[in-house]
Amino acid sequence: MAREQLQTLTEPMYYILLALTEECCGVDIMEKVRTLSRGRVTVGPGTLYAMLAKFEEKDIIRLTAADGRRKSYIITDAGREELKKEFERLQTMVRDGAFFFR
Amino acid sequence: MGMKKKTVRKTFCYRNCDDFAAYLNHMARLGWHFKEHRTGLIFEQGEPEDSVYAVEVFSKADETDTRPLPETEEFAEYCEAAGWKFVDAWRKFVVFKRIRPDAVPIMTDEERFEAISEADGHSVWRWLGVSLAWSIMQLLEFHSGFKYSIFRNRELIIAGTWFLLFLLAAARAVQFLFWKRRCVRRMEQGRKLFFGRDASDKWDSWLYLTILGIQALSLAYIGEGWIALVILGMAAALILMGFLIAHFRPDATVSAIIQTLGGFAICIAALTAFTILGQSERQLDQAVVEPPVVYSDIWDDPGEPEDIYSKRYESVFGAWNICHLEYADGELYYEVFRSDHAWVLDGVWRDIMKGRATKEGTDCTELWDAEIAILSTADYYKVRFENVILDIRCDRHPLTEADIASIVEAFGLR
Repeated sequence: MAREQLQTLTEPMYYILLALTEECCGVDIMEKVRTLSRGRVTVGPGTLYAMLAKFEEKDIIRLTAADGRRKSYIITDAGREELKKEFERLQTMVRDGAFFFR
Repeated sequence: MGMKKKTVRKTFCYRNCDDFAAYLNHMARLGWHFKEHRTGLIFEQGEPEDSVYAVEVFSKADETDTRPLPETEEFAEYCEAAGWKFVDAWRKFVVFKRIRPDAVPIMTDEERFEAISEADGHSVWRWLGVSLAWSIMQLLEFHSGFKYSIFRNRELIIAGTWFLLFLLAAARAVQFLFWKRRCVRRMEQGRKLFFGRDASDKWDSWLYLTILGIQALSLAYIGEGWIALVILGMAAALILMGFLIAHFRPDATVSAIIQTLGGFAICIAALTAFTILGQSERQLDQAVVEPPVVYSDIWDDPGEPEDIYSKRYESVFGAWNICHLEYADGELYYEVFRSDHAWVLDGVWRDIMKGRATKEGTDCTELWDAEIAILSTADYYKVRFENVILDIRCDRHPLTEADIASIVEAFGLR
């Protein structure tokens, strides 16, 4: 799910979706995001819980397993497409900025 | 041997959740560790600890929940992975205890503000809506039957109470909006939010109790204390029901059923009490009085009346006498309204001027030498003087100047 008015993903959203490119248990996502971002990005449990619910509602991710309260998710094709668009947008921004910061 | 426990009846609203957490931290340092919530906060005695609690507002929970929902427990799993152990949940409160020093904050300030303002906002706007609706109903009642309300202290006390409750609800709503604006500004400035108590939170409940207490005392003072007793009885029954639900903590479905059926039963009991006690009151009817003016005060004595209906209603705004006397050879009907307040008599005049018979009536102001006088097509004279209105009909129709002079003297209209 993007920020509807800007059509972009926030940093936590981006890293959560990156973490879910492989099937992952919800409670492990926080640690995975920290690892992927080398400790730079931290997602709190409240933020994560709310985002997983919204992503699932928007069909960006899907539930793959539920063991009691523990649920596992994986990104859907639509979610992968959103993630790819965001990655390309960020790459374009880096390329445009490279001229000024060479 | 069981650990020593104690129950503390301390309440916090959602906006005070950080003060709530600070309180739990303080108790832990004294050796009292929060375990659960039932009819109050239940603490278990142990070693003093420098514990860190977090109290969050969980949007998916409901005001009527007495135990954690499955969604709350799922949320708790994520929090435990982040270093927070779930302690208990009720209504929209969720309490956690930190189990790792590097625990990540559960929610961002923006998320907390959104959850808290939604939770508290529901309560603020709901109460404002209810009190406004009741106040409007009272106003409409006054408007549609002004004379029936303005001369009865009971109606004035009840209407006044609802109006005060509405003013208090409006003040709470304004305070809530200011609180929201302060939080938004702090977030825009990049400052951390702390959801603590401010001075007004302390007097909020006391003001409600004071208003209701004044109402009860006022009703008792005018001899209508039975109404206050019925209302107090209802309140006590609701509090008892809430106490039992909080103690036993049934699941959401059972709790909803109990509250619905219990609330329904309490309303039926209250209506029954109002009907029975109101019926007794009508039988005693303190409004029944001797007629202030009888036929013989105006004209020749026609003998004893065969039927008398005479009542008087009095309030801080004036008095209303209504009288109907039937004689073998005569009849007299009148209503007299006395008030020192022009706006009261304006309202009464509007009331008695309703109806086609009056609207199509004839002006007879000169005949009565009054501020205004109308003879309706149904032979009622409606006359207004400075501090009194007379609505009169009798068998001697049309009235002569001599009749009118006698009436004016008998009623003391000038």
